[in-house]
Amino acid sequence: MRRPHRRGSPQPPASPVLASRRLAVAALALAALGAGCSADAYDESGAEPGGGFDQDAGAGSGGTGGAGGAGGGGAAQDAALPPEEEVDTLAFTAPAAGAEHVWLASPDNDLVVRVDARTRAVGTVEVGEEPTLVRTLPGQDVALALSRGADELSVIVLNEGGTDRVRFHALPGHFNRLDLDPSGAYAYLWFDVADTRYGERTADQQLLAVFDVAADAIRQVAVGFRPRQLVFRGDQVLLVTEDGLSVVRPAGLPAYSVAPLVPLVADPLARQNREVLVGADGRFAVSRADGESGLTVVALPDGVPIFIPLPEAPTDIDLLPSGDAAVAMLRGRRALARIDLTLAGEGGAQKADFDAADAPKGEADAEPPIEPDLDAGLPDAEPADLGADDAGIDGSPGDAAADAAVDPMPPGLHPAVRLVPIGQGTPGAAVLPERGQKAVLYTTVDDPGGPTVVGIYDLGTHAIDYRLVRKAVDGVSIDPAGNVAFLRHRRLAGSPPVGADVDQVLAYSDGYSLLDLRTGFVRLVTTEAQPRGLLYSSDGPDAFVLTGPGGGGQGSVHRLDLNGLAVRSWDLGSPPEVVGLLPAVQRAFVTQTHPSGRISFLDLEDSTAGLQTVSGYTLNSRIE
Amino acid sequence: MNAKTPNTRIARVPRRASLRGLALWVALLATGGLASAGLAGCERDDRYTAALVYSDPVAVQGHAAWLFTEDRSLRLLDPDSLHQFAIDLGVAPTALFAAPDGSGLAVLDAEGVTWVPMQADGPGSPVRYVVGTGFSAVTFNPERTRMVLHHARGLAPTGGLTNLNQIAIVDLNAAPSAQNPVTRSLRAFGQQPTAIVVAPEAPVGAADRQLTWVLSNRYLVLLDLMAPEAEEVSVQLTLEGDARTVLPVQVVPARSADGPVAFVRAVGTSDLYVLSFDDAAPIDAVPRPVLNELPAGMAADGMAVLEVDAGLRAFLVGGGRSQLTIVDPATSELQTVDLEAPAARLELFRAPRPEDDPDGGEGNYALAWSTASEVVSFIDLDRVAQLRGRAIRSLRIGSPLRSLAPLPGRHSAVCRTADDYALVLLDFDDRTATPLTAGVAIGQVVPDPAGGPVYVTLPRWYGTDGEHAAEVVAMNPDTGGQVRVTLPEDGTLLVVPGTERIVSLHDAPGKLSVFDRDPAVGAQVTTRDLIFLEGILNP
Repeated sequence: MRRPHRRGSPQPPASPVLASRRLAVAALALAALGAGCSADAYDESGAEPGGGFDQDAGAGSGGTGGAGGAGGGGAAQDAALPPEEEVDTLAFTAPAAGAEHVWLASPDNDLVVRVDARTRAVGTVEVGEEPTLVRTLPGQDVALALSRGADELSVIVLNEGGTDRVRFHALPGHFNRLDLDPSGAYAYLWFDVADTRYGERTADQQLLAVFDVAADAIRQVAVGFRPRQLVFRGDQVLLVTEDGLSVVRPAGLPAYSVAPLVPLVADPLARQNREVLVGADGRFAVSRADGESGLTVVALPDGVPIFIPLPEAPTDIDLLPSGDAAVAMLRGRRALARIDLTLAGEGGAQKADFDAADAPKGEADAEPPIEPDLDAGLPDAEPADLGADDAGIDGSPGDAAADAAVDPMPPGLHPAVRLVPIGQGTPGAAVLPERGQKAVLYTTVDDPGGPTVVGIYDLGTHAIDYRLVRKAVDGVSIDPAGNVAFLRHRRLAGSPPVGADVDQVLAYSDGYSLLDLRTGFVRLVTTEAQPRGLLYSSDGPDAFVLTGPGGGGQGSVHRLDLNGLAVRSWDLGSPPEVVGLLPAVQRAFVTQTHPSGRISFLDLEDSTAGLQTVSGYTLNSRIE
Repeated sequence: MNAKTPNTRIARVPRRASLRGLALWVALLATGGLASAGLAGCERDDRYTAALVYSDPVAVQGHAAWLFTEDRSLRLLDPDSLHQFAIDLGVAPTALFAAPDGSGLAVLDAEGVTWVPMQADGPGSPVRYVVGTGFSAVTFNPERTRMVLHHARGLAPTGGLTNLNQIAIVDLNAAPSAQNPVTRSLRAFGQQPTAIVVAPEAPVGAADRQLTWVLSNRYLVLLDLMAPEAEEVSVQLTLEGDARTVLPVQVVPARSADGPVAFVRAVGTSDLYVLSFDDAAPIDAVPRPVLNELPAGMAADGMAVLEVDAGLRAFLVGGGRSQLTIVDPATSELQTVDLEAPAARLELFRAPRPEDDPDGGEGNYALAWSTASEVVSFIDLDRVAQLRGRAIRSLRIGSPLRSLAPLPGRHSAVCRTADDYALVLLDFDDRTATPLTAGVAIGQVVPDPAGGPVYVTLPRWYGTDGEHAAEVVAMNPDTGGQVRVTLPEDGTLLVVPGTERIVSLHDAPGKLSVFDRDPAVGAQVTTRDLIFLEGILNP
């Protein structure tokens, strides 16, 4: 699974999307910390769209671990992600980046706050009761706020003179999600039962409100039962529901309409809690359920579900940037499966080649059984040699060619599936780039205090280049250019013993590594606490990551130069929540946990600049 | 309130005559015959029977001043000439305050205040401003053109109902009138003011202002003394429902490149509040500040704000941390510099730069110290942001300190140890700490504000070698040379600006001694007894 990078303003996700309930919850936990927020996690988290860590080796395998275990060697793959630090209540919601202002909602004070990134002046706008989500139109200081307590949408426009004009819209139902499409032309309001609060009205589980920004009007769309994620693809919006994908084309919607529904699987009883990915081009949706030894492909917008069997339940699935192929990790087989979605989803002849017994119950396209010889095309994998002298991990990209072993069509295997053996390590997770040809294969099951091996998988040649990383990995993200991978590390729990040597101290340290996918060079950076909230710049080789609190400090923000793998850090006055960007004024910002609100700005054009902090937004509203 | 014609009267006390009269009166008292020898039936002026109740003295330009509550008068003494002035106030005074620049005295009473300006030859004509209610504290503006009357924190009001949030603003350049003073009842949020801070007159936007901060638990109230009737602005320091005690204890008004700012240090938070004024409000309205709550990284115990070479900066110490935090209000940037030991206080002063300093001239320095530490740090505030530890010199005293005072115009300070039996002279150029021990608990340690000696009082004591007289030691901080001045008894020093003599006030009523400000060996001490009875028998 690959989550797209975070941007200062909503951007169309260029990568495939995973939309599982399980992962959505993980995304929520991350987002609450300002971590891994993707465009598709946006609605889950309330955070700005963006990328983050792919942690599906933990989250994903957690759901499919049974299959991994059955495949052998997968027992440990159920190792859960290290628990994230939860912030129970935040005085302010996740920020939204406008043109020159950062916008935040203060639910307790019924206010939306905006902070000028250049002057740090604070403005407040009174809105309906309990504003819980605020979004901005891309690159504009126009904010939309959902008041959950008042069932009201506020549209706030910052005028030239610095005054705010506010329009209020009564909503047709009770919602707890607000998403803006990448163009900012439409906003979508819906109710996610995963975020239901005790006593909250839950009547609107099949209602989508589409707010047409230009027309200043709200349309109502009936959708599948219990939507749980919203995916933007071109001019349409796909709502992942328990009934399947509801397809909404916002342009020209009447006041009331019903969205066409595309089932993800034929069996109505197998539709719940599926992990769903939609290709960047919107042509295919891929889904799977816990324990399924295969995945189901459906062509959009009106295809029928096709089950593609695999030798074992994959520990992770991802879609290629092109959207026409998937990668499934088969940890037990020490292989990855490459699935051609065009062949799988559109090749009618191939539909008949599969064993109905392998398909989920009720699969409409199940055909006469053929027992696939899933091992026939898979060479025996050699045990990994993690010694420092191992030629495969010494940093030479040229070593990869020896591992490029692909059987184009092993007997019994679905013709859409190709198996690529993995020679070193036991990676059960893959992160695919939005652009470029290099993916990262990794595992989270290694000893958290020790080193691990990651694979750089060439999507074109299928070669895998293995690299030693000094600390175990629990999440990976690839920058938008596809050049550098960010590897977040695990650590041993507790503190190093008295008299610990350098290696022992390292084992107890948090940190991350920057892996240059072009050269294989790895730079390790230790931190005082677990890194989170990774954010890539949309227009440069920069990335930002948050750490802390920990090590006696409140936390810090790191700025990463992905070209030179250089790192600069700034200490923060309060625990960080979310890092964001304001490209129009070349500022990065970090919101922090503080009773009356705190945000720090970093001037990206001034290499000597320090943080500029403004706090007490709400207190300013109490000056009278 | 109504203006009243001042009914005060100033009289110069004829010293010789009064002394004679006093001698006779005291003689009669001594024989016990005054009450029984035929005088009992005589008509006597009230002043002969009034109790001699007077306040602690305050120093004002050229004079020491006492308030006599029973006979409703103010007494001023010139230490050089020992001439006295008596001012009949006409009303019972309740409290006496000197303007910080020594230019006058404010005498509070149950219904107002009397302003006594000081002139070259003594007190000028008093002016009484009637407010209609009594106050217990006075805060002057830096220009000494206005004063704010308010209720002192912790002083229980007497009689009736008291609105503790009431203040009165007096324009000292204007005669009493219906518009002067202006009495205000401040918007309150369940608390009473704990202090008032008046900023210098300064333009805010297009208008000149005199911003005034009224401090209360969890909030501030902002006034403009130049628009005394304008509605105040309240600034909350906590959110609604936040029951924390966040008590502002220090407000330092300053001016940044962007305009006026105020730094607020508060107890109960690790944040520093910075209030700035971006927009100009109408001249008849109090401008609204923008509040910024900056992380100081500590619950600061001491703060200094200074315009250094790099611009306006706030310097903070405290929280038990061995660090100095530097805040740039323009950028909100914070920088921390390690100190050798925790510090809780900062003493600011200016001193010449070292001789080998290429910049020369004077610089801004601070002494950082704490009663919990034996380490004192001398900080070059102009350069500490750039040079960090190289701009700090620390000295280890060897004993925790009770107090520390920088010596004006020098790279040195005098400290008093926690046991009160020693002083330490710190020289930051030579990096020396010279202890000076005493056989008795040291009394006062008073550096001369004009750069002269350090005066140290040593009470009378008994040692193995016999009785030692009470002394004042005038110590030259440059040479360490001492001149001992023997006093007839223990006393409290009062340094009166604009005079050549130091006053020592003894416990006996009306008894004081004076000696030269820079005494020579064998300096003469002049002592007076019952000095407040001088002139009592004069008609």
